[in-house]
Amino acid sequence: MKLKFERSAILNALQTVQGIVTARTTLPILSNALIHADKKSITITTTDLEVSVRCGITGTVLKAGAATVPVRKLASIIKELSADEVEMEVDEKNVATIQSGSSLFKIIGLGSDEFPALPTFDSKLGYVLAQSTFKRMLKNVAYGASTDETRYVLNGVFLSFKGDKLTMVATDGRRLALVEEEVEFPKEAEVDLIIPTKVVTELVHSLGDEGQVKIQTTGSQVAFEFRDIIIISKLIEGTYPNFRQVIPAQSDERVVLERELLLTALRRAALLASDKSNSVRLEFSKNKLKITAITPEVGEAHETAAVKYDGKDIAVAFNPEYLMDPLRQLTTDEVYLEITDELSPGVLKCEIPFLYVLMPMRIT
Amino acid sequence: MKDEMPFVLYPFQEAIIHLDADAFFASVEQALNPALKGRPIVTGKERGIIACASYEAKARGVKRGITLADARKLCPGLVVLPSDYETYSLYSRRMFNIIRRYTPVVEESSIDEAFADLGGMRRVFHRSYEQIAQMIRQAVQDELDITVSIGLSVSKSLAKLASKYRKPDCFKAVEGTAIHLFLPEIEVSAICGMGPNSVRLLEKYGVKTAYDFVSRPRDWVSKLLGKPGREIWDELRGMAVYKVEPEEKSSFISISKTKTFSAPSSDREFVYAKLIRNVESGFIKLRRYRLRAKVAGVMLRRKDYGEEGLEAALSRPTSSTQEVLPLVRLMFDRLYRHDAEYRSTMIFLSRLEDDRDDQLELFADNLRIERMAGISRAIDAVNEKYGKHTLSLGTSLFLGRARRTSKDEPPARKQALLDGETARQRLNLPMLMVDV
Repeated sequence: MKLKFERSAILNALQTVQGIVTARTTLPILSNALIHADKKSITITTTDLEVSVRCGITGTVLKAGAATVPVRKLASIIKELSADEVEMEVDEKNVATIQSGSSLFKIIGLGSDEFPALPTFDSKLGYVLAQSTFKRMLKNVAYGASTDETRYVLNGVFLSFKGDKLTMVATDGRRLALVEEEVEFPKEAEVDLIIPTKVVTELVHSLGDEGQVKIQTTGSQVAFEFRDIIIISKLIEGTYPNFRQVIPAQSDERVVLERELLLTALRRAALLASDKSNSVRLEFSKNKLKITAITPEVGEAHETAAVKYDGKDIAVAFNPEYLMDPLRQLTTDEVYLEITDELSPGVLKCEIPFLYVLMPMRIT
Repeated sequence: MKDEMPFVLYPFQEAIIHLDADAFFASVEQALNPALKGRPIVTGKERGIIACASYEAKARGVKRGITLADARKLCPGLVVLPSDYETYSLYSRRMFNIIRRYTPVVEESSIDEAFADLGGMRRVFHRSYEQIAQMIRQAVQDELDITVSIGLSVSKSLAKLASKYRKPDCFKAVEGTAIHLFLPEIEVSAICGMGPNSVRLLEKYGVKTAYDFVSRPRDWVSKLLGKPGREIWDELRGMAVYKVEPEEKSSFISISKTKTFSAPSSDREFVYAKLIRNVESGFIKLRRYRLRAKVAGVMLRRKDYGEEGLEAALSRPTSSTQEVLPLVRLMFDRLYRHDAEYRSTMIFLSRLEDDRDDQLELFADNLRIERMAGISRAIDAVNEKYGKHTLSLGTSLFLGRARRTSKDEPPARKQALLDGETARQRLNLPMLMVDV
């Protein structure tokens, strides 16, 4: 196999596919990327057996073929090259020679026949969304997913295509983020999916602002196709908890808050929270919000802010990280916080179809 | 070696003592019952294994950890007593309080050992450090009628080596200027922190004595044994690395509770009741230090010392006994074999975290969690007033099904109750067993 590309073209492709390759793999071949070239196209593929990513590369095929090369090594070489054009040739002993300007590298690869085949995709159901919409939705919920392996059904984002809309939810059992968007699809294509966090990260990283993304699923697997990229993944099996029942139907009070102002105040107060007492106390009184963080033997922080509030005096404590997560992702100027008392969940809303339920912390 | 340069040029840049009671449990028994003085005695009857042997018994080869049967063979006429931990801890507290009369900085490192920092106390007592240490030793002997060994030096590691130097009933001071004369007499294996593996490793390089050890370059030790080795090297050369920490331990990485039955049992309900009693004790400790656990483990040890255990993560960290019980039951049912005889059970709580802030859960039954926490609080309140385990889980009814053996004889203090005392509650006073 002999190929020629622009340095930026192969670099972009490598950055797309190398994200799912972990530093330590069980099989040596999983550290490698499969480069495949025929008359029509060049593709590069990586996999960790759960998730596979394939990306096209623009370039010239001088000689068709297939080979695998260590992806991180290749990416770091391409990144450092100074010339714009890169030529790559792989011999029958799987040694890849990379030539660019005054540089020459030889890296040892493995046979392409050892590389696990990409799952064949016999899809029944398909959905189409704007990439920008899908990306925004994912970003607005992804941080809510659990990383606790004992709760594996929560280790991803829940997608529900139902009733002409897509509902996306992520929760770790303490807070829950939800977004909705209208999407057209046939009635028989209604489906629920749980997508692993790793794929969500990959999607947020690779999705663009223009064009569409095509989603297909078989019930146990899901594929995302956009631009010249395809991501195929196993779905998380299991039943997602009934999240509707934990969304409070009604709260006693509603506060209007400037998002940026709240975020920066929380960020400052959180400096005085700690692993041991990771909470901030929010005290609402007439048109006033007081934020307090106290860590014994460390110190305390007090923030006050003017807010639009006309309800009863309420004090409630939250994990500051949990409260800041959605504020970082949202782009609206104002957010609404609905609260009832110190033991009831707080609900954060804004102008877009977004909802965030957060359980308070009990301070003793 | 006398002509060599000392490691440190001051005799006492720091003045740290290590106090180690001699055969503590046995000595307390002899102090309480003078008739036992001079006789070979051991404690640990209830376990069938020697917990502590008096020096008279040690002289005949009876050691801690051997079985009662072996001990009796070695030493006919051996006096075997059940352990009376209540009295031992009273003595322990009094012993530490005596040291506190001489310095406020006392670290209780175990029931019968303490470090104390005497630095600066010369001015208060108008005595040398050696004299103050001797005063402590004398006071313990006069007031408690037990002997202790004290080592005085410039670091904790050296003080500990000094207290062991001529045990029992000894005092040894190692001035900074005399460290290089003391260490050649100490074998590497005697150094606190040197396990059998380190000792074997050092032997390969010809390091046999503590002096050989500190004669090697610091970097060499650092490379071979890492940070712990380097710290010991510094300590032994008279540079105090470890401080005397007077605070009571309040942070734990894990908590475990285990108790050996007096006789092995194959009674399922009894074994389970024993396990649950350990679970209760573990959670009482957890709550006392305001901690909660994320992981719980159960271990069952058979009569033949074979053991099996399981560990499981809880869906949320907790300090409520009630909340962990279903999981404990599940693990017990998986482990228990009806054809086996068991000698002990253990509960192991880990991934501990501070219980002050409680993050509420979305999908959990918060009302039920709150109720279980309330039950734990109520149990603690009742037991605070009426004694530990007065109010306990129903399974404790099966504790009475234990097979009674001669090992079950209670300590003398529990047999000699004063008016108004109960099996659970007694005056915090040791009782002398003397006929008047």
